[in-house]
Amino acid sequence: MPDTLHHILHVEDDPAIRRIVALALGRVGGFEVRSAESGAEALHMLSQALPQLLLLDVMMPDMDGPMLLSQLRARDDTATLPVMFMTAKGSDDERAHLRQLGAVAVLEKPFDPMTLAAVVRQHWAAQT
Amino acid sequence: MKIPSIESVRAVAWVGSLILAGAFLWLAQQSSRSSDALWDMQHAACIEAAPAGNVACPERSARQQQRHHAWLMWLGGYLAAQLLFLGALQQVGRATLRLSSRHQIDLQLEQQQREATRQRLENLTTHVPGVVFELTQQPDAAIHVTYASAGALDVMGEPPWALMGRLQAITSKVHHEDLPLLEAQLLESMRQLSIWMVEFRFQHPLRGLVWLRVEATPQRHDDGSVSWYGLAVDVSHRKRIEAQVASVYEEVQVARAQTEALIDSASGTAIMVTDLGGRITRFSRSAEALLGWAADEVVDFVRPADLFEGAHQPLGDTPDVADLQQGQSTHFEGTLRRRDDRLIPARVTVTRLANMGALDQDAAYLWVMTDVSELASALQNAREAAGRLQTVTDNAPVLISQFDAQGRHVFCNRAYAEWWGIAPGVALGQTQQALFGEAAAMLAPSQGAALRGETLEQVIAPRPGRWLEIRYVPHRVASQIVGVFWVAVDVTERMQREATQKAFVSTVSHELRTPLTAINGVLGLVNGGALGTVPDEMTEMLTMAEQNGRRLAMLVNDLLDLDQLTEGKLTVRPERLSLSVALHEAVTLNQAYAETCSVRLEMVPPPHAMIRADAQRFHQVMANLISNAAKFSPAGAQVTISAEHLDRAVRISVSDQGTGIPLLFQPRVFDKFAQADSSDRRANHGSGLGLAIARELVELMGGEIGFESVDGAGTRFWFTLPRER
Repeated sequence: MPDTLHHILHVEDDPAIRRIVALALGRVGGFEVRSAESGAEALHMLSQALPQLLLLDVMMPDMDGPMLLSQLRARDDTATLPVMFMTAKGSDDERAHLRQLGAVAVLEKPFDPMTLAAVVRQHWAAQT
Repeated sequence: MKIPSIESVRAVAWVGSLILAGAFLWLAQQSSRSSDALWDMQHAACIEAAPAGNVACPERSARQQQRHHAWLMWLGGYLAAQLLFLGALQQVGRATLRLSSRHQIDLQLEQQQREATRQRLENLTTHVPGVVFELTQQPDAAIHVTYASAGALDVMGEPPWALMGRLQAITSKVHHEDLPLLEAQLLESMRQLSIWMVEFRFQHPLRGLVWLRVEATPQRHDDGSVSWYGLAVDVSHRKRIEAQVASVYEEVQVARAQTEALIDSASGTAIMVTDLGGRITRFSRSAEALLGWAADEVVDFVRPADLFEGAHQPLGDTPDVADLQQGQSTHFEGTLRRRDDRLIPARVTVTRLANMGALDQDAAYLWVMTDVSELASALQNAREAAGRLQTVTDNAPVLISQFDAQGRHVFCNRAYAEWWGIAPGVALGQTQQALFGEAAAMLAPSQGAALRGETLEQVIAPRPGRWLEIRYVPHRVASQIVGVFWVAVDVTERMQREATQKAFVSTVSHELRTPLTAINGVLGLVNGGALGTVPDEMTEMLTMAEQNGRRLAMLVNDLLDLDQLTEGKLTVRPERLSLSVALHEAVTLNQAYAETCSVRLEMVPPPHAMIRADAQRFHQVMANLISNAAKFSPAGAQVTISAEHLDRAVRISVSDQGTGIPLLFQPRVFDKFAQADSSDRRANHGSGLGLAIARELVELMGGEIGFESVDGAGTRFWFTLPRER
């Protein structure tokens, strides 16, 4: 795994937040960010090219974040793909549960768009 | 005939010869003397008659000659006598020799016969189970053992020869209590020539004390002394059995005495005995006391039925008195009529006696009549109390039941029966397992714990979707656990409400945060300059919008935390953290907010330390304290963050240069929804939950929180966290 983080795939059903994250990580953070609006789209995009990090919303219709993660873990090419969750669910139990699923980090919503990239970078550095 | 021995014959020969010789010598002398005297007398007469010597008187020499002749004659006579004597003796000696050889043979035969007899006797005495003995009174009056058979070794532990001699050597081993009798009877036997019979304890060298029985027949000899011929045998075994019999007999006597005493002493319980014919044969003192009749008035005159009023009321399937088998009892309740006509409720037990040994021979039935008037009133009270209890509990909106040590229902109220859907009476005597099956299996462990002495509470849904909050309390009687009290409240509604509430909180938080994320995100990007420059006036407005967006987000967080705090579900996951790293992060994370308040964050370089804390919760506390400090600081002021070592902890302080906390408000700083002054000019105080949550979090992480405030000179909030080594 390369040391420097460039390619991030963001999966989020809310278009406004998709746009804000793209700006916060892309324009402010300088990452290459692609966005998917659902788990299905994310799977499709992952089959074309693998990012370095998957930033995953937890609550989504049809396929939520944890379901998508379990599918990725079952695939050879994405079995070890680093994943960070973004969640609006605040309880300790839920955060602990998400971490147990194998997430590198659990980021909270709302977030500060100006420091989001720094936070992501920090967690990335911590796990490598 | 006694046969003289050869030696005695010889001796007779010698002695006889000497005597003979002596006799002849003496006779010869006597004869010579008297002849001398006669001759002298005749010679003198002759001389006198013929004086002058003309007469021829014998000469003296003639006399001498005469004497010699006489001596020779004596000698001859003696020799002849001696010869005759010796000859006769020889005849005697020969005869003696002949006789004595025949006698020898006779003697041998006799010896053999005697030996055979002795042998037979010895065999006899050896095989007699005991000691055959002979006692003989000696000339000095002392009694000696003169014979003891081989049995002595077994019976008295001594070989026969060791017993020979003075009887005293044996009596010294006789038990001192038995000795006087033994001696008295021996004396009596000697005097009366009666059989000497005595039993005494004897110190056996191997077996210890043994019981010996002696029986001997006395015989008086010509010289007046007495001998005894008798037998001594060991009777210890018989004595032991006798002793056992005696002790059993004694026990029987004691038991009999006790029974008598019991019959007479039982108070409040009348006892009487009747015979097969229904005649009262015994009437105890307690019966006299209970019924007012004297025993004399009752015995033989009154029948049991006369003592009762009306008919008996048998208890259960008890047989009639007349049908009782030996040893069998029957019980009934009846009313006794006293002599003064007063009626007494009584509980009666009649027993057909199986063993009459301890009672009178003609006893057949034992009547035990207990006065139950107190019991009856107590029972009435208890029934009333039970009725009250049932009424009260039946009208209580709580499920109440009671179980015995085997888990069987002893009691349950109406709510309990209704909840489980059973008729109230059905449960009694049954276990929950038997009645409710699988549902009861969930309750069994707690019930078991209660039976082991634990008092516990449990919220559980024994039926699908129906929740109970159950309290199990051990039922103790004299510190022994005899069962369990079971009190439960149906909390289904509460549980449903809580579930709904939880779902609502979760939904609300998600539904509020998602748009807040968008709003704050947009404003953050715009204000952060990510989308290009914005006119100044617009920046001011947008900053206000962003600040309020953040407040809203914090409010949502605080509300969620508050919800968890109320539920007691606020949790921390402490880990090992570097103090300086954590503090630097805190400064970085709160820098932006401080800037919006025009406040500088300064950190005094912290000491090197590792702390034990939940990183996220640590930052939550720091954000709370720093934002508070920033909010209450005048523009341009400084908020100082510092840390110091304590004994086993570190103390982190956040100090501001604000106006300080008003004295009146200080005690309520950490209360929920606490705010010093809602009309504060900034109107920017947040939810008022921050410090309450911070205190809860710090305490959960094992620390303390506090503050020092000087009016007008600022406030220092501090909290401690455990240090890691």
